Amino acid sequence: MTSIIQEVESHLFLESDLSVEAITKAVESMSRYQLDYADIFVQEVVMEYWQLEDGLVKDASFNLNKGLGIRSIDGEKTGFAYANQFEKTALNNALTAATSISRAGQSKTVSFNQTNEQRRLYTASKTLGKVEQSHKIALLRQLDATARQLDEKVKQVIVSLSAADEHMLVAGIDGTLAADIRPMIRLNVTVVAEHDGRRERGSSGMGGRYDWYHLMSLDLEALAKKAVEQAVINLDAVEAPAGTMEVVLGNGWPGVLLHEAVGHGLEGDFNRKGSSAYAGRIGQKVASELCTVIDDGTLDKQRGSLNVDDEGTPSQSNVLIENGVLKGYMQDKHNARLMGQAPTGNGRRESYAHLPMPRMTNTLMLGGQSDPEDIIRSVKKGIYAPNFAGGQVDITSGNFVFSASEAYLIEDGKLTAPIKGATLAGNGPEVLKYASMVGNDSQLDPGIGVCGKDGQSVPVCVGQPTLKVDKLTVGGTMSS
Amino acid sequence: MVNRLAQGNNKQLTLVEIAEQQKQTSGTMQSIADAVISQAKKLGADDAEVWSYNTIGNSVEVRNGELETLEYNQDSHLGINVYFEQRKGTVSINDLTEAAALQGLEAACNIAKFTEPDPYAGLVEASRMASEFKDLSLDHPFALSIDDMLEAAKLAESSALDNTHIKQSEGANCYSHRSVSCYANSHDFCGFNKTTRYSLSNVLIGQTDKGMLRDGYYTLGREYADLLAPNLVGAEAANRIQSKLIQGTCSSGKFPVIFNPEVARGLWTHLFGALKGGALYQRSSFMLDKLGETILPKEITIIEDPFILKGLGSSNYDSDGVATAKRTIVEQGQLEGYFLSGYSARRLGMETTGNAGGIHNILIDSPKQSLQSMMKDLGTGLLVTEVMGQGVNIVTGNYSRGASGFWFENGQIKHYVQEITIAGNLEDMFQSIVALGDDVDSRSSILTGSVAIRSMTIAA
Repeated sequence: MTSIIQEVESHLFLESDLSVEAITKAVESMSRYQLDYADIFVQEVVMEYWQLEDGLVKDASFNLNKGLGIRSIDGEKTGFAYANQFEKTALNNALTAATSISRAGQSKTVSFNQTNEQRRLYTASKTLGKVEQSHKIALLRQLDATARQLDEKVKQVIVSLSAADEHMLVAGIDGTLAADIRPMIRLNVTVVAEHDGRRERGSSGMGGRYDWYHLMSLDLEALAKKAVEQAVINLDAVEAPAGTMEVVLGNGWPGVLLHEAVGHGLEGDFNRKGSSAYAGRIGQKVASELCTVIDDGTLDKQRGSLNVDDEGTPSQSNVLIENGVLKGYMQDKHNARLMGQAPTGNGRRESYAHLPMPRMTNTLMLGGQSDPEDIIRSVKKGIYAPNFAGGQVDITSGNFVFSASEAYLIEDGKLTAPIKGATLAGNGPEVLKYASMVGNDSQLDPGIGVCGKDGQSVPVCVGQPTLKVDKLTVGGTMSS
Repeated sequence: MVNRLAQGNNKQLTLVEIAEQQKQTSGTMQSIADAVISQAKKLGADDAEVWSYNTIGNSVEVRNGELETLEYNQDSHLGINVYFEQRKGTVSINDLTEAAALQGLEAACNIAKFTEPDPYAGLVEASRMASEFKDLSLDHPFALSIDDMLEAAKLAESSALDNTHIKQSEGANCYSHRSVSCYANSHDFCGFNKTTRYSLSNVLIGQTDKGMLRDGYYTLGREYADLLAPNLVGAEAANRIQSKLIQGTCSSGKFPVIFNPEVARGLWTHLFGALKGGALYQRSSFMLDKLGETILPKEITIIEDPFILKGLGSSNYDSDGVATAKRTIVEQGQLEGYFLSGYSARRLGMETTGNAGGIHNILIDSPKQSLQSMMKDLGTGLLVTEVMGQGVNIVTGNYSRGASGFWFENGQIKHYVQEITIAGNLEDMFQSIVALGDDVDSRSSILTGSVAIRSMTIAA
């Protein structure tokens, strides 16, 4: 059986004068500089995209991005250059530019070890395999028809399918040599519903590191149904309340709360620099004891999962908060070394043209004891928010927001009227102290998360059980 | 042989040397475009268009007086659209070689066999292509070395750290980039844009009894000499932190809200987003069917000017190759025009406005006053300096966002407030603009000062 490294090598360098040997030799040549670390990351991403609008599949595109990035680290200094050609000359030019931060000395021998066993958290076959174009078109049309049949208020439907196959190989001066083949599929339905002069949009998506055939085994009609429901419900939405109140968050995607309020603040780089509101707080209580939050890159087929991260470290399950106590940070190699800790498999980069940073994978809160219905029953006046547009955090102050795209008033323990989308605001190290009930229904989002940091986007997953927070600021327009 | 050139065979070229290198790159771009278009015709395409760019530059990041990151950036991109009897195929690659481009073309043609005919697809008619190429003064290569950039970043940072209220630096960054881009289509149109961009920024952290806070300042321009001096960038970044150290709270309720120029820019972006062809024909806009209606107070006129010298949104042609024009979007409060591409214009039964690929420079023409006098007129309210989150619904105009800024009473700033939300509806918000500031910020293609809105709901 060919190893994953051989498989990736023959794919990437088929028509090139480069090879894994040329890459490892180049890494070895960097040992003559006074460097703490250096690596070369080679990547190719092929993406295919199909979109239906007005009942027609009229937009389709094919995208190919490839290149290699070379990084050298001396203390806290990093030199970085990249090239978009798989050629020895390109490699050497980028190498010269990337090592310019450091002076040359004696060359050393590096022994490369392919430490990682061939973990396969996801299929390594082509995401769209040999699927005929007509099948993709048929799928988009079918979802369009489903959405339109569900409700006559639906006036516009946009369905899109994207599939990407990434081949990556990384070699580091510490002897790291690793490769991975990463599939990613994504299906999205957006509808606009109109009624009595009001218009609303509803949107739903799903995806992960799996292929077309797995996608076909899932309930895709439900996707169209969710988008239509969201738009139609919002047509009747009333003004949202404004002020601080009890908030019940639904399970799954509302875990974006954890991503913003907890996750980013626990990334190693911010803590090394002391710029995170969580800096120096390991061992402290930062959440109610009902809360245990992990970042787990090893989950089967999930959007944030990685066999190895972009520095070749095998992904792992990291406990961030255990029973309310802050346990650990997420690290890449650079920040781990400077902080005297071990890398945690969170070194990720958007592409070969970006530097790796500590990033989240699949971030979730473990389930608790409460029945989700009891949680809603316990609220006298507040809101229930099962769906969000996304969130944002300022990791220094800890202030974060996340924006509900579907929410309801809770009055005397019952869901009453749907309310217009409202932003919820809080402070990271404080908000989970007010987590008073944790549901027994923890679940991951359907595979739609994109995390942005310093201009770099990477796919992630979030998840949580139904969760009651006693105090969150709700940014509606109805002042009480 | 553009690939060799694009690699940069020596380290740390200045933009002068990069510009020299890119002379050949633009020649290559043109010959690739010619080859792709003629090959597309041979393969039976009715029309084809090719766009490409090549951006090369340096970026340095300094923290605590030491180099932290040195990046040599070089990005290339090539895109192709082909049209066969109203069927379209699209390909994009990051490789500026003819061989890769012709392979890409094949893939694009293959895709066009499967997409469905779209009666609105295709190039804009040849008569609309730009034929006059004004010198917009966008290209200013300057021999700025890495050492110069390091020195500028270090000076910005050290000037900021002179201020004793600063806890630490989050880093100072300096970058210089030069881009060459080319758009060509089967009407024999071929246009080039050559642009430079320089920036210097500094981010700082301050400490209060309530925790840390972060702020910073940046300067940005087409010409290095136009940037604000490094010591002033640092000093302004430090001032911004210092002004926020006195923190307080505010009450929930309806109050006047002033958006400072940086966040006002975002507010206008929401309006222009709702006036874009795509949002309109998808019926996903709170500005649907508003042409000719009064959408802003009658004191306000909005002009789009693609020809501002050194402008960040200046261009002679849009990404359809259509000649751009200076025009009025809003005349004394009344909506006069949308932002349309060739495609969205056809969908709406209108004419393109030269906005394929985006909006050019925007000027807000109205009586303006100082921020001080705006606060004085409004008495009590919130001066927003930062907004957070995605709570903007362009379909309904529903607006609800996290915010921080300064609470003012009797026209005087009292203290800094954070972890609050502001909410309203964009349509109402634009109707109830009560004043525009003279503090116009030129670091964007939207040239706006502060914007005051009569009333929004604040939740604290």
